[in-house]
Amino acid sequence: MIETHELTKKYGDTVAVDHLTFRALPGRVTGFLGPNGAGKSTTMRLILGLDGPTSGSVTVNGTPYRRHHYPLHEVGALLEARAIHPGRSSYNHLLAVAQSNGFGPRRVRQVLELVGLENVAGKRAGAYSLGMGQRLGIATALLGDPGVLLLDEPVNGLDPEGIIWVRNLLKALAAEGRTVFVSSHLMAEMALTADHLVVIGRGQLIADTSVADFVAGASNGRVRVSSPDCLRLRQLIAEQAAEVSPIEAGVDGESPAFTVSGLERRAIGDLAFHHGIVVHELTSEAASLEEAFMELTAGDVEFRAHDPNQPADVQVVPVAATRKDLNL
Amino acid sequence: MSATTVPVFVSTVKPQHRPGIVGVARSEWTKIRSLRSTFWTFLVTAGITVGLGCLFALGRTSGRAREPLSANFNAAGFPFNAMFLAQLAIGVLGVLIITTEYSSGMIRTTFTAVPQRGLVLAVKAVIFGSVTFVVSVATTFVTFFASQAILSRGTVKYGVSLSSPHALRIVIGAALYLTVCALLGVALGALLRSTAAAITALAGLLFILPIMMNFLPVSWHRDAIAQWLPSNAGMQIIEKTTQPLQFSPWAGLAVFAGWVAVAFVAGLVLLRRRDV
Repeated sequence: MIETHELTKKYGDTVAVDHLTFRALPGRVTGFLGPNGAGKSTTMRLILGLDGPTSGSVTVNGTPYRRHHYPLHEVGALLEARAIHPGRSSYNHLLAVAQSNGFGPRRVRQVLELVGLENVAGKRAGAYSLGMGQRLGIATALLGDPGVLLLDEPVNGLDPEGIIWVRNLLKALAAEGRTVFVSSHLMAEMALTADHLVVIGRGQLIADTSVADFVAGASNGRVRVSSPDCLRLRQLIAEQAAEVSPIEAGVDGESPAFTVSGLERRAIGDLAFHHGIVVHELTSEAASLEEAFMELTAGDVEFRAHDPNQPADVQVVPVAATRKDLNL
Repeated sequence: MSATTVPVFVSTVKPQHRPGIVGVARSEWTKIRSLRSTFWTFLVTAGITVGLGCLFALGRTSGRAREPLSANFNAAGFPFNAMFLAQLAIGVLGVLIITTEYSSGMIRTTFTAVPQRGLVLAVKAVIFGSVTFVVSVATTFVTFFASQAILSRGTVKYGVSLSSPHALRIVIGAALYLTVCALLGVALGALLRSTAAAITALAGLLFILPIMMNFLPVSWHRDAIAQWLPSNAGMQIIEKTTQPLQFSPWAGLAVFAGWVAVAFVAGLVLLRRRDV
């Protein structure tokens, strides 16, 4: 279990982590989400005792990291891919790390096999691809067979097969009762991998919730209505003081459609029935994780391209576009 | 969250021995021996010490330079002036041993595995220093015998044997000098963390500062100051006789080692305090 309490880190006037309190519990994958510059990597370094907090505290399994006798046996960490001397082979890299915590060559060969690097173990790491570097980083994290895993963007640079492999590995590790704490900026990946989310923006906690609740909480409450008699239905709904979108023409013989916000799906169905209007589609639009995230962190993005024609506040991504972008 | 029971994780992999100084030593030894650049740098250091040492000896005994040398000629120590280049090569290796961990990000893995940062730096220095000393002793002995053979050619034989006064002290001392140079590199690397900055500082301390001293006015007590400079003090170990305003051989080496100790302690203090 990882536990932070009012954890704060300042660099001069910049507050990287701001009174952050959360827990990552064993037996589940906790996704650590936030826009770039939100303080994810700083938090990870604070957990590992690499950076000292300005104030507040953080413990792993109830003990500050630096006081663990067998650190690699307690916590395995992947902070950055290819954090290895380019002239050293992955076997020797892993051996050097293993030896410092009392593990030997046998364990090194086990983790090399586990991540599928056994055939390139003697090659100089400088020749590795980013994906191979990530696998080596994961092997390093698993060396001590730790109960807590801390992974910073582990799927960066991996091919689709590698992404699925990491996803299944993380789930399997959590199912064994381990604490798996994984940061990512890929919301879709987290939706598939994580059970629980800790979302931060500008160093502050935005949400600490299950994935399902996170999406529901940020749901936009829009209903999509499709009917051959869109004009009349839209007029009736608008009279109920609900907001209606312009009508989209139907494609491939589908009826035209529009979206409604401010009126429940059931109420729209009843309304159509009372006025004898045929309805072909009546669906609540669930916000994607991406959208929910954008909505929650809209005010908390550290770096943003400035568009003078847009108000600087909320930018809602159209659902259709989001789905397509994510290949869901 | 549903109220499913979470299995309690029990690791099946147990460490073979307690982590600590032995484990860290094994780890640092693996790091040093697993880089080809280590081997090549040692080879270059040995090569230029032996090669330049013989060249210096040859220069003193051939052609017009072959005028009678004074009775005070330091035959045993003279070839070791060639260490001016080797000291830089071995010092740079000392720098790289720590700064490449920073530039690659490996340092975060190292300090995650062993949070006792001071222990890591100390063990790193001891292991690297020991290897350097072994290589250096072999190098200085070869340099000594080869250069003395060259000095003994011709009618007037300047070459001396190992049993002559000061010779053994000079040969062992020269190896110690190279070892201290290597450790200066490690200390500067820990202090500055950047390869470029640490190598600049190393060259500045060993090379540039002594040259700059020669351009200062004599009235500024420049000779009294210059004797305290790291390389000036350390190189006294290859001298036969002690001149005024110079340290005796061992005192000079001790002054040099003192510089390194100060840099090392400063590096240790910062290492423990700084974020990585």
